[in-house]
Amino acid sequence: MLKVENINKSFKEKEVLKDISFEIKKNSIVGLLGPNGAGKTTLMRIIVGFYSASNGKILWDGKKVDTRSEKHKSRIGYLPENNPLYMNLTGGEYLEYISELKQISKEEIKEEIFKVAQQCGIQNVLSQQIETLSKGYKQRVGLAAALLGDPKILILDEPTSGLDPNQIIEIRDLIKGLSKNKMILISTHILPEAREICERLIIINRGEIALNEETKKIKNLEKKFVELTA
Amino acid sequence: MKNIITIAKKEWRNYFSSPVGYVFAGLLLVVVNWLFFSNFFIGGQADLNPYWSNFSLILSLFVPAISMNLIAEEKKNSTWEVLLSLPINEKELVLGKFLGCALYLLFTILLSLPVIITVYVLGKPDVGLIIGGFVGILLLSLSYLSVGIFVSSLSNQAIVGFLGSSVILLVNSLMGQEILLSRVPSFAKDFIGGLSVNFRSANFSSGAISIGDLVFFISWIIIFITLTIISLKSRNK
Repeated sequence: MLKVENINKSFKEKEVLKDISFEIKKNSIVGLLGPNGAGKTTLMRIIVGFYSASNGKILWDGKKVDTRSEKHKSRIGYLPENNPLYMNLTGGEYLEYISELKQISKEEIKEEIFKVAQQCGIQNVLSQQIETLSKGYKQRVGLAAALLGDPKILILDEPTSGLDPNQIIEIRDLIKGLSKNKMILISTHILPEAREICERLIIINRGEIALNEETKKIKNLEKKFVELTA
Repeated sequence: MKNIITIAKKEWRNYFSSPVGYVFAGLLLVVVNWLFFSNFFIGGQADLNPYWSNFSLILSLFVPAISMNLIAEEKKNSTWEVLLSLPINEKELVLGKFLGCALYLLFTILLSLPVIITVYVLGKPDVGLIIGGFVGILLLSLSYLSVGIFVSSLSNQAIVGFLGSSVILLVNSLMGQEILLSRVPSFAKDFIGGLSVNFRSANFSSGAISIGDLVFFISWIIIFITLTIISLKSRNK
C-alpha cells in the first residue's frame, strides 16, 4: 500500500500543495480530480521522485521511503502529462532505451518488451518511428514504457487527454485491465471517466484535498465537483 | 555507470541517425582545412599551429551548435521528467549526455588525421607537437562542451543555449587575446590570460604541456558539469 502523508510543497513563496494525505490500496484505481493548476501534476511528480516535498512523507507498506531512491523509482511506472516521447526513435528503440534505464537485464529486455507490447496492443507498430504513429498509438507506447519492469504502482497523468472517443475507450479499458494486479493513481478532467474506472476519487482544489471518498458513495459527481472547486 | 553508458549510447546514435551529425562534422572539417591550406603552401613550413588555431576558432561555434539541444530539448519535450522518474539521477543524466557528445567530438577531431598525416609526410614536424596539438584541441573541445551543456540546462530553448554558450566562449577567448590583455594592468594580465581555455590550449599545441594547464582544464570541466547538475536539481525551488 502506498500512503501519502501530510505532503506540502512550495515553490519560492508560493504554496502549491497543503497537507495532502491519502492512500492507494493494492489492486485499486484512485482518481485525482481538480481544476487546472490545482496541484495534481505536482503531487504526482512528488510521488515519482521528480520533485521532492517541502514537508511530509510517502510510505510504502508502512515504511517511509526516499522518493529519489532507485528502490522507490523501480516500483513506479509513470506516464506524464502530454506523454513525452522521443519522436525520432521507433517504438521498439524507445522501449529498449527505457528498459535499459529501468535496469532490466539484457537477456530479459526482449521478452519484457514483447509482454508490454502485447498488453498495450502495439506489437505491429514497434518498428515504426514514433513521430509517424497516431496519438492513440503514441499513448499506448507511453503506457507500455510505464509498464516495463512490472511496476507495482502506475501513476498516469491525464492518460486520455487529447484522444478521440474511440481511443479514450481503448485506453480506459486497458487501464481497467491493468488494475487487476496494480495500484493506479490517475488524474483526469473527464468526470464520467473517473466515475467509471476509479474506486476512490480525490478532488484537489488550490492545493488542498476538498474530497476523498469512495466513488460509489458520491452522488452527482458533476455537481459536487463544481461546488468544491468553484 | 550503466545508466551513463546507456544515455551516452543514445546521444551518440542521435548524431548519426540524422544528417545533422554528418553535416556538422563535414562542415567543420571543410572550413578548418580550407583556412589552413589557403596559406599552407605560401608559408612553406610544416607548421600545424595555424591548423589548431583555426580548429579552436571554429569549435567555438561548432560546440555550442551541437550541445545547445542536450538538455534544453529534454526540458522542452518534458522527456527529462520521464528520465528522472526512472532509477537514474541528475549526475548520471548529465554525465551520459556529456560522454555521448564528447565521443562525437572525438570522432570529429579524429577526422582531421588525414591532414596531420599529409603535413607529416610533407615536412616531418615534431611528433610531440602533433600529440600536444591533439590533446590541446581535445581538452579545449571538452571545456567548450561543458559550457554548452551547462547553458543548455538553463532554458528549454535551444537558441538560448547556442547564443549563451557562444557569448561565454567568445568572452573567454578574448581574455587570452593581446587585444584585451594590453588594456589590463600588468599585475592582472597573467591571471586574466590564464583563465582563457584558448590560451591554455595554445600552450599544448606549442609543445608546452604542463600539469597546471591539465589541472585547469579538468577543473573547468568539473565546475561546469557540477553547475549543470545543480541547475537540474534547482527545478525543486
